[in-house]
Amino acid sequence: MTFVAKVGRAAIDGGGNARELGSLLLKVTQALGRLERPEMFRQAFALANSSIFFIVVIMGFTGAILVVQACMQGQRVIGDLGIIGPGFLQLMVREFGPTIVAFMIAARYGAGVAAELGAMTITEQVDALRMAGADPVGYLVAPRVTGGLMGMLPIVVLGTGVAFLTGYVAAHYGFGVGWDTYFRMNLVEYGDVVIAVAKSLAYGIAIPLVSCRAGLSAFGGAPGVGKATTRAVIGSCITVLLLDVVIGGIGYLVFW
Amino acid sequence: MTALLASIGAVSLRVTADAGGMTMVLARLLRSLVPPRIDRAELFRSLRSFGEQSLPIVIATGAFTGMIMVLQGAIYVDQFGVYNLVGWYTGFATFREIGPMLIGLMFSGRVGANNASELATMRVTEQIDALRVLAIDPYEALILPRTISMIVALGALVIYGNLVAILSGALCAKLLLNVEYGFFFQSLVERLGPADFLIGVEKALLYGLVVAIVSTHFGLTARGGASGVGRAVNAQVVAAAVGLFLVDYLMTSVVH
Repeated sequence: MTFVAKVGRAAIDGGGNARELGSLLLKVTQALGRLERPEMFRQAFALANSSIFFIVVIMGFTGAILVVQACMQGQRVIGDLGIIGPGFLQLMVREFGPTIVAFMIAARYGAGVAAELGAMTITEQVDALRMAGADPVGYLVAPRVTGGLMGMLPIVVLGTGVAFLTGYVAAHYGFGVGWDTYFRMNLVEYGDVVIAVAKSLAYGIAIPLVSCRAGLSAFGGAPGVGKATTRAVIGSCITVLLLDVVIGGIGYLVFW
Repeated sequence: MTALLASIGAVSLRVTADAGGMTMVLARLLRSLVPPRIDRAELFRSLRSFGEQSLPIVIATGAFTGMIMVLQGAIYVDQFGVYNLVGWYTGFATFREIGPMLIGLMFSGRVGANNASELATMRVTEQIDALRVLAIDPYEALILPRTISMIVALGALVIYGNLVAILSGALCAKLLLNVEYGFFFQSLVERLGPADFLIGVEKALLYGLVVAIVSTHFGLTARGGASGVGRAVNAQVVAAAVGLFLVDYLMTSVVH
């Protein structure tokens, strides 16, 4: 296949995926009326609470890494580390907090959802649900999407806070930046918070939606479950990046 | 209280067991390097499947990365009027941190998960044992060639991804901030040296090794049918993410 043909094929696949995800989202909204609330809370718990340790570790590293990089460049280019704290907080709130947490949730929760639903699909439990008159979208997908919507924002706030604190540790012990210089919120504006919340909510819907679709379309025994998991993680991450560009672009045009 | 203590103990036992398992994988990989006996057919097959077939995702990731970097810096550029720094910060952040990290995470989601799921399927269907019965060392036949392929492939993919990110960043800077292409690349070339680019490639090679070790460990220790394969893939994605951030932190803070 030539390169042009590959790009065209990828574009067609992408369009088809987007259409199917849209129709799945539509079905989820139709099923909202008969939502299983306990299952929704269980899914929010599985997404947020069960990921706390993982997110704290990852975001702790992220904060330290980014601040060390920023301080090294700050010393070389500007010569003043006073901007590091407030600038880092703003960048964390607007961009890296929601997006890196979303990547990690896609890896942990998204992969788990796809493995669970994939195993159910290949062992024909989903067909059994349909036979019993239960709608798989209402029964399996809707609680995960609404639970994701609920759980995403708190875990993003936690991750951003942890990264900001470990960033302080790195800036203080590595570069001698004091707490008063570091902790200033003057750069974080209304627009930054709106963008952060919009991103978190959009990711909270997108990750479970993409992962459920990957799980429900699994086929072909044990390797099929593995492939569904892979598709869920990759699909969720690409969707997160796409939403990041779109929401970031709209935010830039609206607020600045 | 005892439940909390028990779960802390269980988690630390599991983490220690996995860390030990991964060290064993690394030791056996090094052992199978002397004398070097590698299955060439598997080496070329896996280079193609890990490298060439990941190209579409890497190009998409790179394109989004470049746009996001320019977009995030855009407000500061507008505020301070530093249009001459756009090329520098896009290149700096992409080459050193964000490019290798995002592409590494994508690579772990696609290639690492695939490798773990293939090895786990072979393991639960006893194909690995069959290899041993035939006096074929699975490390020589499967794992060493795949590890080498992952290291080489991720290094090459990050170079591709960085190129795409810079091109899309230049395009985004032109459309959003009206920074001319020549000006963008001038700022990139003047303020960045080969070291900034190479450290990202070095990181990518290490990330490739991390993904290989983690996916091998979780693939080979899978048990329990279709859901076991799903669990192995899930665990590898999470552990590889922690591994990448850990290596990144060590590279950032120790190497400098």
